[in-house]
Amino acid sequence: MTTRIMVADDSLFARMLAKEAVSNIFSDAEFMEAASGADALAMAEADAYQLDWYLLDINMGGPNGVDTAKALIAAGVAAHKIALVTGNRSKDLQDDAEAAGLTYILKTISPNDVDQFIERLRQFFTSP
Amino acid sequence: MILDAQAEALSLDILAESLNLGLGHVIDELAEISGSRIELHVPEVNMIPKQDALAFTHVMRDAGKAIFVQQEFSGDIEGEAVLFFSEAESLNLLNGLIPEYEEQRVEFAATEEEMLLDLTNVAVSGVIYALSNLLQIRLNTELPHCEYGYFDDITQDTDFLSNSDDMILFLTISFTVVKKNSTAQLMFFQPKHTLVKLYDHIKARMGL
Repeated sequence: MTTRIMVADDSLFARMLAKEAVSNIFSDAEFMEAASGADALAMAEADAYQLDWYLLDINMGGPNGVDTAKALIAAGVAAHKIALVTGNRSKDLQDDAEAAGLTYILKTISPNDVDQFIERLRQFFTSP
Repeated sequence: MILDAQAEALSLDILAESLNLGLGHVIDELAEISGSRIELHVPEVNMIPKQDALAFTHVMRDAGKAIFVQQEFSGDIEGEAVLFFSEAESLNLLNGLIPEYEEQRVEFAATEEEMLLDLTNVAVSGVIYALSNLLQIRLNTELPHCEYGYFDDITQDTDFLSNSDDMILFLTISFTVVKKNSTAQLMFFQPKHTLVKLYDHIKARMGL
């Protein structure tokens, strides 16, 4: 049985990196890609919210990742299945994520930090 | 060199993401300085002549004095970054960046110039750091310089708009200091002839 994961980010490059990192964890991963919050919500609804995990960029075309996550939760998706993946280190954003029960995962800038990015994803997928 | 459309689209995408990641560091610093939430807006990539990109400044011609901070970068690729405000907008931003217990600024002065230079330096350095790391290229930033005056005087006295036919805007991003509802815009320009070099680095990095 494959692991089905939504990767929503307005950057194609960021989606490529995320998929590559996730594939190190789930070799059988099947991805659904969205370039905006609106696309992510439409695709999730069309899939009857049956995806295993949702990785959402925060700073993307509307709605942003936080609001997209809130809409998914309102539609019945468990908050622990959703992670906000961002390069923004804002403490305010991290507080927002925590308050909503969401995981906050920092993107990597340096290729030398890819292993740490994968580890952050692994912790998200394996945390209870 | 003729660029493949898909490679060009991916290259521009990487540039936008670099800006996003780089400003992510700056936003955090600004939030600490201001004690205010900072919102980062979605980057835009526009391949248009620099002269056209600056068309929006026509409103400043009627609004009094203007302030811009310019910072060049060089190395494997080269270009310049510009932070641009009307006087009122810059004061609004600066007042948004200083703690509430400090006196609010009412006019542009040496201290404001220093703050704008620091702001630009941090912002540009953040983006350059992200870009150089993502593409594994060597980049250096020069010290920023600030100009203040009436728009027409500034553009006559400096080389800000020189070679404007050769320059194309490649990235813009804005952020808002929520507490003051003030917005700054940071623009990156690159000479057309070095843009091809950038594409080469991106294609090499991505194995395109």
